Amino acid sequence: MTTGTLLPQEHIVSTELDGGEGVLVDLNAKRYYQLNETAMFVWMRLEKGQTASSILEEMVNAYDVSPEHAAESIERLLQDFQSRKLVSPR
Amino acid sequence: MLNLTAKKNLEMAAQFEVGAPSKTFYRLANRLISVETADEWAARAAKEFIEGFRLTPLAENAGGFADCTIELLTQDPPGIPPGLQKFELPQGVCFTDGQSYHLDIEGSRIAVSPSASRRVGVWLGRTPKARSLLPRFNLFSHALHIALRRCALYNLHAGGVVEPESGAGVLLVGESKSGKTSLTIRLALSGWPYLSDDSLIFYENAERIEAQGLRRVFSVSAPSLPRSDSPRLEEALGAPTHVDPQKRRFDPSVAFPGGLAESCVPKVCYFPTITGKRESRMEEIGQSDLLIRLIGMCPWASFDPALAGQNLRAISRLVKQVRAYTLYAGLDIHDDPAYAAALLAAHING
Repeated sequence: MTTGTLLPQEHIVSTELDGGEGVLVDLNAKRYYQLNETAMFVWMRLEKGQTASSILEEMVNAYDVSPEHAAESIERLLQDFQSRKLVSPR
Repeated sequence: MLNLTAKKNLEMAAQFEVGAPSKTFYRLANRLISVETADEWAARAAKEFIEGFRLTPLAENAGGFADCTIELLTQDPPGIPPGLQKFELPQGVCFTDGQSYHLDIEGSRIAVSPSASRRVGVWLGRTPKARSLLPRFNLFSHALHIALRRCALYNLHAGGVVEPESGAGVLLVGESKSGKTSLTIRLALSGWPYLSDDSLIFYENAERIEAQGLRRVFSVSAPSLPRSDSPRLEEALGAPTHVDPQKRRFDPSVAFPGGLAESCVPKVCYFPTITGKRESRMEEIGQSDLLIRLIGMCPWASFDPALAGQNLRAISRLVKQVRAYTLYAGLDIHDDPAYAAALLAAHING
């Protein structure tokens, strides 16, 4: 799993909607990203400066999901966020 | 009689007359906006432009501390700093570093400093083209919207009406030719209070989002007007508009006297689209789709970087406050204004 902390870039604005979904707006690239509940769960915790391990622990407690499955989802999301330059290492 | 060349020279000279600087205060949604001009020509041009909007001029000595000031200047603008990101606009070019930005509009310039500044600098170009009607309108329009954003008043390309039974504010959102004006007129004809046919501001007030109309007159094309016995519809029609000569000015205060709603609390949002089919129907829009669509109708939500966060938060609050639908508008609505009102009233209050 990704070690260290990833932080949302300053030019990314997020908004959470009812039902846990959300939208990210990349002000530099002028792009929008629609996030499902899981992705928004992870993003909101990145905004608080939480590590991947901490997010994993909370996800396992909040949802009926195995730690292995949750870890895989989180890792995939973090890599996706990084590849789109939405986050950067602290 | 003056020959044409001499008259033209006098007009240009008048554009550069100095006269006394002026400062005028306007009120909109409890915000105070001041317009400072360096000369009489600029003062007249600004006054004429703002008269088309629902900004209330205040008496000369009634001003106070402005929430934002638009400063119209006639000297050459400062240079654009190097290395800024550049993007094209329909009417010009924008240069930005993410905090400040410079708009170049056909020889005129708008410059905005980081968000702490409540001043919008507008340099009026000296060429006849820069000072002609349409470039001047575009310039002032951008300057006004920039100033409004700095007062946390956000523009939305939408019409607005109020459902009479429930008092629910209804937004009609869409691009040109989507049917916003057509629908607004049909609903107003049936007694629904109106805010605007295509230009609103929305803002946070206590714990909710409210909306007000921004432009005073509508802009209509021939197909927008329903067949009606009311002579007021014809009386309300005026000259072709600056922006689109195929449309005409339409004064709703003449067509629907007493029908203006000063503000509303939006509860429903329709995205009309004209189908040409017999019957109309509605299709619900989810929150994230609605958010994306509304951001698209407020393009400066993401282009004004210093205020983008606040603007987007206001949009998301609006999204959570309303139910939203695509309205596939058929001939039933087009042909019978009373049916449009009945259909939407039943849908909203159902």
